[in-house]
Amino acid sequence: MMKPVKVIIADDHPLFRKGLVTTLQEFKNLNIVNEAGDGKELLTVLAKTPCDVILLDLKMPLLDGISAAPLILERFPKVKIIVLTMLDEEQFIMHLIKIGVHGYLLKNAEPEIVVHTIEEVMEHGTYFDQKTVQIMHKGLIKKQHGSVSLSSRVHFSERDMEVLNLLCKDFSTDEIAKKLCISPRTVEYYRTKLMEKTDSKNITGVVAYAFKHNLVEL
Amino acid sequence: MLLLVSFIILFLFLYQKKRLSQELKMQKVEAEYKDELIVATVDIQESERKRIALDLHDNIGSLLSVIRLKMYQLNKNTSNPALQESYRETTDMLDDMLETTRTFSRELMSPTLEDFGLAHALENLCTRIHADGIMHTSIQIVGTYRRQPLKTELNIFRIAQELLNNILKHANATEIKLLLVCSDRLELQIEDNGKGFIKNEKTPTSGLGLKSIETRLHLLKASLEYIPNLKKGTKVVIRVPLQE
Repeated sequence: MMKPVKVIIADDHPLFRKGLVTTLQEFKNLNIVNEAGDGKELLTVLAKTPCDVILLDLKMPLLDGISAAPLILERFPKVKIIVLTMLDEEQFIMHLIKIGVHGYLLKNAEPEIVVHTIEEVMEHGTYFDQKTVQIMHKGLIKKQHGSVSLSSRVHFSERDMEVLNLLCKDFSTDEIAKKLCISPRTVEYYRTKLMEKTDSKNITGVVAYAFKHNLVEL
Repeated sequence: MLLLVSFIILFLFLYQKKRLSQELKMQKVEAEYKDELIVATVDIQESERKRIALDLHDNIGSLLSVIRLKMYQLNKNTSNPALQESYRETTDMLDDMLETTRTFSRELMSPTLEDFGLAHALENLCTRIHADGIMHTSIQIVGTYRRQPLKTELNIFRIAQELLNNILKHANATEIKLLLVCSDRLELQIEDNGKGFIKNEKTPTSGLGLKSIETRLHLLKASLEYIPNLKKGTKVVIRVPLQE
């Protein structure tokens, strides 16, 4: 028989912590070795109690789980972190996976799923249950389809926008120069810049981009 | 005699001037006081919201999770199929309650806004409206969003929330489009395809909402423009100057 997995529970709500301890203790392959009520306490507890897995709440006083996770990974690289939280926003899941946590669970996950996640993490390094994967999946799909384009690196300055606006209204370079009190050469510069930024070969492309992204109004 | 008259005139003139400058000073102090009062009111409102959101999240949410665990233990000790069935029903209800608590808490204070900023929070807001199946909602972010002080982000977020609520309640729309253009300033456009906005139409709720929008615009030194569409719907454009 395998040695039981040593678990530390970090959650600021004492009743929830106790409830979880009682529930998980019934599983023979788990050994709850310690508890902590906030991130700071967790770091102290970790220094004196060796463990395999931490069940980590995110919103805690003094030092929250989001800030504690990277510290733990750095100081105790062998310890696995499974987030156990109320927060189901995709940003939190993605952010914590990027930091390097090994699992992410919502607080109303069935205890069997919590135990299963612990086992999988111990055996394969990481594990994410269906609910978490669904949230991540939705977020990624949404981004791919472009209804949300957060990663777009196009940056328009105020002058860019002014020139763009006038270009869309079919003003010539000289007219734009006069209107904005700048030299025609400067306008040329902005035209080229706009073509570069919108990845267009000519001004028609720039104008099409502007309308497609609702950047101007007529 | 002449001396006396000119002396009196001079005196009156100086007196008037002093009074005027004092009045101006008073007005300035009053305006400053009013601004301080607005800031304080908004701050109190936000801290209250945050407190309630935290209470919902930490206390009620955690307690519901505890109850769920207790139910699980009870269920483990029974082999009665009827009890097992009611366990499943009860946990389903508890999950619904947890979801509702999350929604309330999120509306009061968006955890995404605090931790990941305005762009992500707006994105989430749209996803939720869209996912609720009420309206086709999309958002586009042009440029790179750089995080602003939390108060600035919160004020913009609240304005967006208020405007979206108004559209959901009154506009009879089927589609909402958001656009956040990030440059030296922030520009937030919210466009719907509803029946359009009539300026004089004031229901008590929208009146309060509009007041809140006004206050926050004032704090942001931002402008708001309603652009009624020729065909259908309304576009609202908010322009927020950014501090260096």
